[in-house]
Amino acid sequence: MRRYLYPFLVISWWLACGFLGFLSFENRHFWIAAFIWIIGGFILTALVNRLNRAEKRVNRLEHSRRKQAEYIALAVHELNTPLAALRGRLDMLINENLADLTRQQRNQFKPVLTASRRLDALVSDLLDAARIETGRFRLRRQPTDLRPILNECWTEIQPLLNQEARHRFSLPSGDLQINGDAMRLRQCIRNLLSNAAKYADNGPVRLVLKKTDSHYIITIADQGIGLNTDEISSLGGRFWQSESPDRQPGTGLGLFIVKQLIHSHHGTITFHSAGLGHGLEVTITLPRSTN
Amino acid sequence: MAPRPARLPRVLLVEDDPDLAGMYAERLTHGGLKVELITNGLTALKRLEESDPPNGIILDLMLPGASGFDILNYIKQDARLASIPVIICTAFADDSRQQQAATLGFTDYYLKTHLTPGDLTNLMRQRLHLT
Repeated sequence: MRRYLYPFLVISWWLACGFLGFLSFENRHFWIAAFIWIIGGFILTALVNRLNRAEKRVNRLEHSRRKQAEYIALAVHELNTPLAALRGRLDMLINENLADLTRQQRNQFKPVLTASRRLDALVSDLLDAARIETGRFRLRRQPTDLRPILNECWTEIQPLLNQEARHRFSLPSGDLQINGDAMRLRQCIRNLLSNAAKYADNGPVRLVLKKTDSHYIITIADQGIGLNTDEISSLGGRFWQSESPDRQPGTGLGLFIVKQLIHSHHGTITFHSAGLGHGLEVTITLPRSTN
Repeated sequence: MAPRPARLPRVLLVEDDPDLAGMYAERLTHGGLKVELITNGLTALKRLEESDPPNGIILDLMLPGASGFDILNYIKQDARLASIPVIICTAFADDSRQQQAATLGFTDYYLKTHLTPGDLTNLMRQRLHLT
């Protein structure tokens, strides 16, 4: 931009002043020509200086953002390296049984594998949050069917649900096409369902999708411990933590990431709770595929 | 006379972290591959200049000496190495490096935490048409 803007300004200045000066000189108003020349020169210099300063500021910010992103990438690399060794060894021991462990020994290692998966999810959350913060978050959008995503997430969550409770999973017939990033949409649904299961207090969990002409409306709800109504507006904020003693402390990044992901899909997310002990209802709207 | 056993496919494992290197080498060997471990990027470049290239390469990106991208650039320029499958196995989770590798023509890009040693072995065996 600067490459073309500054020469353009300077050339314009010379042409304009030359023309005015010529007219004034022709009319024998030499002092008017000189005045226009000098004042115009001052204005142009001030303008170019100001543009230069603004540009330097933008460059400094961009440089700092790049450094920040690179630092985060390196920090994640350093966290992932020992985590990969831990997960890999555990997988060889437990899932592949390469060390001929007894069933009892394998069972003792299983919680370590689960813990390493949680650690992996935390590192991923930190990286996602940092990507969002530094404006380097990219979706890989393509025609995607929501049905297998919702089916898969609902199946995954079953071990965490109380099988005595009356859960509800309802999808309409027909296609559920969306122009979206399947991996990220799965991440959102998985996160919301696991929150619902965690706070359902052994009660029922509901996942319902409805279609309108232009949107899908997905509701994920539980009837568990709920939230103070005055906390609802802060849900999905970065590092948000509930003040309720019944809620487990976390990084406060999960819902923040979900909210940003849904917004990146041009969707909306709203939370509703009738208060403590009345569960939480999360409603997502996502635009339907136009083709 | 008993037939000579077939020569095992040789995989060059370029990994500088000793824990990961040991783990991958152990699993790849268990999967019927002969592992040649190199822990330095520069040594890996020198190895690739030799006349007997490996059958497959498993490459970390952050290495002492020369980076994984230096090695990828070298592989791309050397016609002898063009058909060798390369699996990039890195702890970098950012998209920019993955895109950079794809631009060079290397699309087997995996995050170490998401690829178990068993998956890595199976993938390399697939790329070598052993399964």
